Amino acid sequence: MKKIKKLNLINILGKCIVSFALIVTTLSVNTACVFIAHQSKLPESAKELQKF
Amino acid sequence: MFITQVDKLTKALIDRKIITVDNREIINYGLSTGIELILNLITTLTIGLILNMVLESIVFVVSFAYIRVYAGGYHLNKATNCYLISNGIVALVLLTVMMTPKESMASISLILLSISIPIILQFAPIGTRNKPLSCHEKYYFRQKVFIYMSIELIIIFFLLLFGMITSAFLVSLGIFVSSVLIVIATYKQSSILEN
Repeated sequence: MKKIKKLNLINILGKCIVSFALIVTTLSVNTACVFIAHQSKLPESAKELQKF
Repeated sequence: MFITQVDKLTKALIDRKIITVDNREIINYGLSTGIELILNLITTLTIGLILNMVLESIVFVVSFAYIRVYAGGYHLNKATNCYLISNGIVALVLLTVMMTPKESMASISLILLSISIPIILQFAPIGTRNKPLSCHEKYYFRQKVFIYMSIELIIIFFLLLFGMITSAFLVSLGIFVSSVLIVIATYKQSSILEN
């Protein structure tokens, strides 16, 4: 039971991390630059996230 | 920064079937950029805390970010250098605010704005080597720059009107720093084209 709960928690945490990464990539695609972070090369596949 | 750690984390997410291999690059990019952003924001707040100017550091970063994200500008090649320079700028701005006499802040703000507004109107937005802008993107971002700069100018007007001179000075500094980074990027691009 404890193991299942732990696995669920890891999955939820993983999904949160993925959501955070997706938000950051979407913001980066829809702006000219990341304001106070290093501008690394944007992956081609990220262009799908462009909203305009 | 943190490329190896982020790579390991993404691999673990794939192993747990939370993401697919196709999304690996997007997640990798988002995580590494996100971690850098958080680290930068924490350092900025720490600098603000050390100088006893937390609110001032927030006002500066927000006003700078609003223009910077759509106007673009100079970026360093290495993430570590970017981190050091970004936070160096924040410290320098806060020290400038600390040392400037309050009675001259309004006039300095007007001087800074009269220098930076024409620069932004002339050159923004500007892409970088890692993120070149298409014609469509340039048109879209230019419109956004106009909107956000107008909003910031209105805010400065009201801050001056209500006697919040330090905040008005900080917003002006945000616009000014953005314009300086645009000038550096434009100069770098023109020197590359000449060579």
